[in-house]
Amino acid sequence: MIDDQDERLLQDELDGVASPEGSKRLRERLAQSAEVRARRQELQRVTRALDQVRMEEAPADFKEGVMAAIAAAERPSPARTGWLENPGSAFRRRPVLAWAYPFLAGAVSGGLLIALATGNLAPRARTDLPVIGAMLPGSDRGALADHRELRLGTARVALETRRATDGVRVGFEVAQARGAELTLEFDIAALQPVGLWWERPGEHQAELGAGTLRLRVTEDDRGTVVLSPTRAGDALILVKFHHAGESVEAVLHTATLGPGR
Amino acid sequence: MTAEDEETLVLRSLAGDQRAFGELVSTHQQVLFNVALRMLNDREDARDVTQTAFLKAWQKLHTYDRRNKFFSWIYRILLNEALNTLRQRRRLEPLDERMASPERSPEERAEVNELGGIVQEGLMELGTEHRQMIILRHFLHLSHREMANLINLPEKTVKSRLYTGRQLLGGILRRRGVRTT
Repeated sequence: MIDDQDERLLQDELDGVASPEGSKRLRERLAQSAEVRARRQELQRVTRALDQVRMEEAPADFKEGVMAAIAAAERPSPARTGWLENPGSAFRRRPVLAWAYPFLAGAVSGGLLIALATGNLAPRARTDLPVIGAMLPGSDRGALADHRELRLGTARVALETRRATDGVRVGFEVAQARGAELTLEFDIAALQPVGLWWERPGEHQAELGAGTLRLRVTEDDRGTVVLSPTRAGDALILVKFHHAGESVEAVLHTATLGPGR
Repeated sequence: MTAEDEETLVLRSLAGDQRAFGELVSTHQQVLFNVALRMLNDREDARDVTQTAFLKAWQKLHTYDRRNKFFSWIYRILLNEALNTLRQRRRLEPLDERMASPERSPEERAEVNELGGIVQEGLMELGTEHRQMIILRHFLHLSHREMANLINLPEKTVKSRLYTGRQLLGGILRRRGVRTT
């Protein structure tokens, strides 16, 4: 009978990561069990079969194709250390932002207070009602701007940004991530939160701060955050996904591919 | 190419130097093309996906965090593109039907009869998560830790998925009569 420990010992040995104790234990098991020996042979067969798959050359004109596409595309923006790396620096470099910040933060917090007072930020059954003051029309999903999938173990969240008539829509779908926290960070000078929509009723929690929307997920669900852009062009959203003590993050663009992105 | 060389090429690319980016393409094209090929089992799709990954890398280079390896970053772009292609393909044509289709050309049959073709078809029967682990370990020859860093997963999760993938692939190859001695 092969159990999980036998399987792990065999595969550790195959990958050269077996501990001395593990190797000793495996030798004992190999001497004891014909099944373990047969299993080892099968794993070795798999490895040998994989070894016989050749690395292939990229097509001869591959690089030329890439360079032609690049030549036709927009040049990349110069390196920058923007608000995503250091939010404070944006305010130091742009005094007007520093002046406007308390007003924007106040407006956002006011919206949040109203939402909390009316219960609009609380999770709700599927509805087209707004969360903070704006409708979420279902017919206009908008043009896809970016998408990402973040994983932590089996927990995962798929995200996409779309440019719709009502603003930037950030769609998300969380799976196998009970207790996970999903945080969106954005430049409030470029994007202002308008609405949050969950597909299913539940106990999800949402916390809106200045430039931050933190969602705590209590069950698999999907939803949409709507952000209103205050200026043209691409604005980045930093997404952080926390689950079971680990975290991963990614950046989402909000402008569709084309000049300027 | 050393990490410093690569850093220099990235900085020159950020300044708009297409030749510098071309050197990054030359360095990584074969490995990335092979990852896409093993994920998708179609040379044309693999070519499209890999070229798109390089184009997106060029366009989004200003978002690349230089504390990480350039390969790790572009690998994730490539993987996203490959998974999108697989999703689109599933919508158009169920994979199981494709695999079971008796309508193969003589060239396809000859290819499948080779061990490499059988292994590739076996890989396509795995889920994308397990397939990715096999590709990283057996074609890119990455260690468990390198795999974990590349795909942002705990090493324990990587090992678990790799081991399961190999178990599943073993069963598939056995079913297909592979007897490599």
